[in-house]
Amino acid sequence: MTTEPVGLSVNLPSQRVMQARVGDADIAVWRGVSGKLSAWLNRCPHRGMRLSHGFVRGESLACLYHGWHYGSDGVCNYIPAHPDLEPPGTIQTTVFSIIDQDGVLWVSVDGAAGGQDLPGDSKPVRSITFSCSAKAAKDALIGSSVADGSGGELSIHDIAEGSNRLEFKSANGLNSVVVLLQQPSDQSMIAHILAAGDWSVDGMIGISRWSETVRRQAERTKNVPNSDCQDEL
Amino acid sequence: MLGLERAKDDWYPVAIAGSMGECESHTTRLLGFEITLHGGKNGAISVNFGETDLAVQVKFDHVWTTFCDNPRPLFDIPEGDEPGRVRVPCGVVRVKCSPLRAVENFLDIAHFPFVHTDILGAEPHTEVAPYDVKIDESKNEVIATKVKFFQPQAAKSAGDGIVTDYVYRVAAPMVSILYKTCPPKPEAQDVITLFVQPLDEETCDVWPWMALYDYENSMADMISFQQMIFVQDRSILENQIPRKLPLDPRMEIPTRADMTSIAYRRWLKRSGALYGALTEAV
Amino acid sequence: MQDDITLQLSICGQFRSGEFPDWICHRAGVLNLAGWVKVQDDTHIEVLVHGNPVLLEALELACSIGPYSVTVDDIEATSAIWTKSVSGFVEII
Repeated sequence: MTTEPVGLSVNLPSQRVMQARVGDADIAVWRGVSGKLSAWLNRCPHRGMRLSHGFVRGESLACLYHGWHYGSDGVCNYIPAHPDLEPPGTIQTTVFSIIDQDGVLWVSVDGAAGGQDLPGDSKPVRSITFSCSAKAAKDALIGSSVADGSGGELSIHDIAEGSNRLEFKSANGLNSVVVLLQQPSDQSMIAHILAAGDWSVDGMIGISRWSETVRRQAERTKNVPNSDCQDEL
Repeated sequence: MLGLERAKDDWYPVAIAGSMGECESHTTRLLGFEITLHGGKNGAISVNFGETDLAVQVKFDHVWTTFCDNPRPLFDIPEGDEPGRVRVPCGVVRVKCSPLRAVENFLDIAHFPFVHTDILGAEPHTEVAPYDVKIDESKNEVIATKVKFFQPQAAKSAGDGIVTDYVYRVAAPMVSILYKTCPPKPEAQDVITLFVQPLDEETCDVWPWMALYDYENSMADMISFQQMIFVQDRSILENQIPRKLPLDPRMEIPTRADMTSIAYRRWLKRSGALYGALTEAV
Repeated sequence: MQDDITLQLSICGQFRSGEFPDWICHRAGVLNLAGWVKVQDDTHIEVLVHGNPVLLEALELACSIGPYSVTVDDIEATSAIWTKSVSGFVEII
């Protein structure tokens, strides 16, 4: 299992929690008040509730069910039903490695997370979920060209076989759009989209609209078997 | 399948009595099997499984059925028959979880401040005081007594916050009954029950029923209060991993506040009531 | 925060599967409790445990159900003296 992109940093402000999936692992990703990131197995050790439904208090994430609090190190620091108890350091969540690199959140469930290099001036556009097989989503993306909203087009640029990263470039090579693909289940695909180069607001909106158009195309062919599925989901 | 044969010996709720018109019919599921309900004369409801007519009885305003020719008798709730109570079937809520998880959650008070915030509980009143739980051998039931919890709005009829007293009773693997302080009549206790219809091991229809002393609120208000509470519970139940109830708590960390849950699991294990349960640690 | 206490748990039931001692050690580890478990025979296990009373209660509660392969009939808890004879939580033979 390699490191996977689970979202755009801008979409996870401080004190927010989101759910992600890396391979078979259901994961809760959250930020404390200070902005510190954590990624844990999405299961409260107390009674198995998904922690992604929890709420952030300071630098702790609290489970929605019984309010057990866990610090950013994953260690339980407060059990509301026993308010006088100082929980032992042995009650803890399963902690994964997460980094925020060039505006993308990368998680690894085995070892330290290491993100891919992106063009230095990459700006986040959006994450968009395709409700179809990975193959249908990828085919639709590869078969399209990005309308930049001001008459220009970017076309697909060297894709490695089996790669989960697509890059589109303008004719002059100055502007590019990077699409990082993540496959949370065998019938969905998430595309995390970033733009590098010189983009106007209209241009960014154009990329966003393009992604919606491609999604509609991909979902129309969703019955195509998922033959190049990367994960053994 | 573990526990299916034992589960077939119990009665299960499948409809509210009198809820079907004559000649009306609909299909539902019970323990993984498709069954069909038919409305008859005077609000009667009959139940078929394939060509077979299943036994039917009406109790607690619900229609109960069983696959067994010689089923375990349906439990009683004597308090429910007391004059002066309003008996309220609350409709049905479908939940994607083990029927046993629905019952277990109903026995839990520590979640009140977080799941039913400002209604059945509120921070900082989160402490769970010691209470008593036992398996009543003579009745073969789980009983939790002396359960106390601070509640901002314990019932539709409650004004300010009060410390509510609870007694919990598990009368069958998929039935939980609670008795709690009745705000307008302190010498009596409201009865609130959860009757669970197991559609399969990981899906259930929950039929809450109440027998209350409440003369002020309309039936519709009481139902919507209870439905609101249960919909809040559903957001938990559909997000517990795994969906079945683990009988081995190895992957969980129960504390004193979870005593009723553990007693319930012990009782299920002892009774061989394994439908909807996991016997391996996960 | 309450002071640490020591309890001896006398657990009776059916323990033939042999799974229980490891299971108790794991649980004591999760709860950061010190002490030992000793199998007397297939129907009787003794546990000496030292730590926070809330966590001791949690150990006793977990042991009241145990792994699926065992049946626990009864647990008798009595106050005991902590001799610091072991570190961590171990099975003694």
